Amino acid sequence: MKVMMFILETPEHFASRADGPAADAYWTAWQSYSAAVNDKVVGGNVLPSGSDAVTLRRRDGERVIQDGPFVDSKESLGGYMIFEVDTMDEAIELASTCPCLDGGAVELRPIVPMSDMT
Amino acid sequence: MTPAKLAVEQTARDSYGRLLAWLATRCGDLTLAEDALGDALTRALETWPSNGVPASPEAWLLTAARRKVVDRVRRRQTRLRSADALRHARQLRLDATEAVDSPFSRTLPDRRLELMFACAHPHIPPEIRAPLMLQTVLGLDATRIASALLVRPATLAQRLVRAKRDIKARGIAFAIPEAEELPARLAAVLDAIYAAFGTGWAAWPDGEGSELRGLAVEAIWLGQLTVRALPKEPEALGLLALMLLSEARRPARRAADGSFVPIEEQDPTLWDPALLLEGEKALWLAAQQLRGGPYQLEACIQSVHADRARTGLTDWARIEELYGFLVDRYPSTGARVGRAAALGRTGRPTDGLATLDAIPDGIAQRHQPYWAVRAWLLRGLERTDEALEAYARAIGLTEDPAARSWLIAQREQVN
Repeated sequence: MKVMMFILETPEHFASRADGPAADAYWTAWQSYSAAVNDKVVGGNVLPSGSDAVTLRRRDGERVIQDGPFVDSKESLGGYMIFEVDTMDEAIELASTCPCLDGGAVELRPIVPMSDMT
Repeated sequence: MTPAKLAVEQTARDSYGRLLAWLATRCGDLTLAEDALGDALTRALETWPSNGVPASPEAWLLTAARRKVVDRVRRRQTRLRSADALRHARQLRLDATEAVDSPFSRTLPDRRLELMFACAHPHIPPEIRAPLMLQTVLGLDATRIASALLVRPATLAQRLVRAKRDIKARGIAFAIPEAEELPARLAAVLDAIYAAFGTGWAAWPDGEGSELRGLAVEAIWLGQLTVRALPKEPEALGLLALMLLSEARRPARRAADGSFVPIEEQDPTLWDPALLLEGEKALWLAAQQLRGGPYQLEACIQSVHADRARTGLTDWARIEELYGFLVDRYPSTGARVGRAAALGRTGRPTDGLATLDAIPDGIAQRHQPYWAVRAWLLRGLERTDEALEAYARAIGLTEDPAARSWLIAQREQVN
């Protein structure tokens, strides 16, 4: 099965991505993490902070374009990974050493192909 | 948590396990016993505030729970006309009358060890034994256990239900096994206790109020229960010693700023002398039985570490030798990794690497200590690129943020 891991990071996490002493530790942790789970990963990407996001919606027939993420919360989506695993528990184990858990969180969702849902 | 609150909680936990074990060994049905006790606790919460707390709260709970069990068994028995059920019900009434009529704590036989043996029965899958014990003997919440064991609460709940159903369906006895069966069956009980301890030890070792730290304390509690019931079993004593000697170091595992302190840099004056003494005592009592075993050997290794509090030195040669015995007689991944590290400490890093290489790839892949030790050995041998890669693997497999930061700093020193 494929499981998508949404990586939810805090403003402090995003801040430590930029240059500076915190950046080295931040990126070493992430590179090490992705090396450790590499053989189970079939996809993934890093996303810049939510301030670069654009949100579109249509309300009462009118199109609305907004700067910023759809959900305005303390944690925001900082990236995602897709695991190929046998069980959800295996995905939980892979997620357990993700650097963002401290302060942030991950959300794990099984990916179900559209053909299986209709 | 204040000492008073802790005392109340421990008493409640003590009672819960005792009452549940007693009910379960009588009716042979863990689920029924849990339901009945749960019911009794709910009724207590409803009635005690207005009627006052009964003189013997435990006896009150037992009477209420017992009534529930008897009702249920009687109902079932008219349905099934089962002679067994009838016997159970009669026995239950007899025992409960006896227990309730006299001073409670003296008459209620402690059946928690019997309960643990049922939980760690060969028919119960090994990975569910520790959670089953934590839930039934200590009354821990399944969500909390699931978080500690890295599984979904719903999955764990299902497995627990299935395991309890199995205990009943297969007629697994709530009994201390016969002498010839005892060593193997006891080993399963001890392994489950140690699994719970390991979970609490590995993660968040500094959090005072941390749930996971609690799990290490709960495991020690189970170890003490086992030793109390089987005071002459050296491996039970060995496990208790191992847990106490390890737990004693907890206050030294973090610096004041919360950063990780590896064992060889810990300040031994911060180790808890009372726990060390209790651990040494258990190890000494184990040794009197002249029957060795893996937990006693592991405890011996911790005892050599503890000696630094007296001597100021760590006898790494002795530790290497003990790990050698462990690998030869009771091989495990943990023992091999421990031996590899000890070989590095005694100036034999190449032998250390060879010890690590003997571990199958499939096991080594996600084993954090394997990569941490490998990185350190490679660094000592100035195999820089390999060391950097091994550090990265270790960092990526580390859950504890403080340990991760420490490893990141170690990796930087390689360059």
